[in-house]
Amino acid sequence: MTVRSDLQQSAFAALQEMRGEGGVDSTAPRSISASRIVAYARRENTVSDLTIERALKEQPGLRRLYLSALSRSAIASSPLAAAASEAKLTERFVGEYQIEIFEEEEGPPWLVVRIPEDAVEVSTMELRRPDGTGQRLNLGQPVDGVLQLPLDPDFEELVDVLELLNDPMTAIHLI
Amino acid sequence: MEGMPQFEQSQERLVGDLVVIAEAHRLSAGERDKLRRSIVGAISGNRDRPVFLLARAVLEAKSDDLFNLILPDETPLQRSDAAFLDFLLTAATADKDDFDRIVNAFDTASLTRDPVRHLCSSFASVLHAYRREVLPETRHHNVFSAIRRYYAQYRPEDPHPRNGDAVDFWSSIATRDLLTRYTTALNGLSDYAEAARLAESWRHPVALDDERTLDLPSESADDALSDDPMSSPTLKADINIISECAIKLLLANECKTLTPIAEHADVVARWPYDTLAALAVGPVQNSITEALRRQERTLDIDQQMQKVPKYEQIIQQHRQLAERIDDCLYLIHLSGCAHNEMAAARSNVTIDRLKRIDAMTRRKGYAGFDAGTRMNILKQKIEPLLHLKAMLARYVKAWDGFENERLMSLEVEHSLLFTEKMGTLYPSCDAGVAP
Repeated sequence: MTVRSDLQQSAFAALQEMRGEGGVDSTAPRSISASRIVAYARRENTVSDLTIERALKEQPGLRRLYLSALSRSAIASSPLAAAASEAKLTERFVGEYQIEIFEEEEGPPWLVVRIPEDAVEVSTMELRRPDGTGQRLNLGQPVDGVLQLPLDPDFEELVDVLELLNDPMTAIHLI
Repeated sequence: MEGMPQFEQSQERLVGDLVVIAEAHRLSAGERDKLRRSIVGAISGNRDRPVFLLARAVLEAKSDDLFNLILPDETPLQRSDAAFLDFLLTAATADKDDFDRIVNAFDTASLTRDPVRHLCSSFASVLHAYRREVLPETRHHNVFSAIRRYYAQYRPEDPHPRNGDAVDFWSSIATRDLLTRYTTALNGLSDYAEAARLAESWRHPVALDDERTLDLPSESADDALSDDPMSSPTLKADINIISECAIKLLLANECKTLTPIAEHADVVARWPYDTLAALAVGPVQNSITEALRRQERTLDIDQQMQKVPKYEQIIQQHRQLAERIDDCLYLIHLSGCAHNEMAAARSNVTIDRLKRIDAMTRRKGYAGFDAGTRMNILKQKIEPLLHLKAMLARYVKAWDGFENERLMSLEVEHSLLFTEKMGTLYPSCDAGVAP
């Protein structure tokens, strides 16, 4: 076995150990209560709890609860894009809020959220795939009813956002 | 948990689930124990009564948002109720149907004819599924089935349990795998009767503005909706308070005698014949079980059965204990009297009681405190003593209803049944396999 494959094996073993993988054990105690999941769904910040994020990926039941709690507290939600498509989406409606991605020739793509007149202001967006992966981002303050956020690839947390936004299966929640 | 015996696995799982909820809601040890008992069904009477009470509390909260009710810092529910609801929702996440059922039941309860029952049904479904999955050793389902079979066979014309049935039921049904202990059979029968009573009341709901509500006995409403102060854990806690008191109010053997009495305080009023049998035979059967666990090869069942006390002896013991509790309360009363009131107060007490109280004041601990400290200690014992007084009053009242002849014939009848059945259950002491 080569040195490289040895390293790969070690890394894989370490990763498994870190993740505590071995399949979901239905006889093992549930480590996270429903209240903790609900509180996480309703948090006002964008800080991720890695334990809960991992649980959302591994346990469909907790994911279901999380999304249910999130959709009940969100100002607007869209479970998935109205038209499923293989092509990248550049525009999507979440309730009455319009979400667009502008990709320019130079510079990073921009996420734009248009807040209709008389609609409640939103400041946070949560993106969540059916497999539980997702992210929450701070949209900042609107200017003239428009929220704009550059999706700068130099920021690690924003790298996945574009991919999530372009996935028609991603649920979007505005908070 | 692979390789671990199933029983230990289920205990590990239950403990783990409880810890998660208890920590989230900062439950006290007592609240945690109450939650555990609600989950496993270790509740006197109807095992699903906590679920009914929870459904009622949830609806009374008048919240639009089910999830809000489980957030510890925002819920309008009592902490223990919020924790129980959190547990049920957590358990429900294991199954999509269960989860949808609870959420839908909450959202639609107000639209149904019986909102409490509608919501209670969804909660109970989740709880039963959890018990089946995590606690396969829970026998309550099997016990109820055994009870139904017994009545279908022996008394189909009147299948409702009544006072005196437990001994016959146990001797007919008990095996080494099911209802081996007589006290378990008694509790199962009592729970079954309570469940049947509750189910019957649900079949005939009465609106609050209906005149028939005036005819409803308040006892049934109180039983259904309030915590039972005569519950075994509460009374045992009271016994502990008295036994650990710095001032010796009751002797150690008196406290020890009170413990098995506390076990059956919630059933004695309805099941006096069967409770008397439990008090007489229960400890002996426990000794037999313990001896089998230790694999004693010289155990003689007939000899063990000789240790069963006479019923009259038990009844006398309870009456004496009731007097002893009253002695303690009188002691506290006299200790609190001002000097100029003492003579008048003592003149209202019988000579025998005064002698016993004087003996108590000479015990270790009483004289060692100054009057103020002593009174503070004694005042904290009033409530537990009153609970124990009420407990013994239940027993004494039950025994006062016995006629001597009936008592004697009952004792003979029970002695024959128990001796025969014990011989069947424990035919060989060499195996040493505990039931």
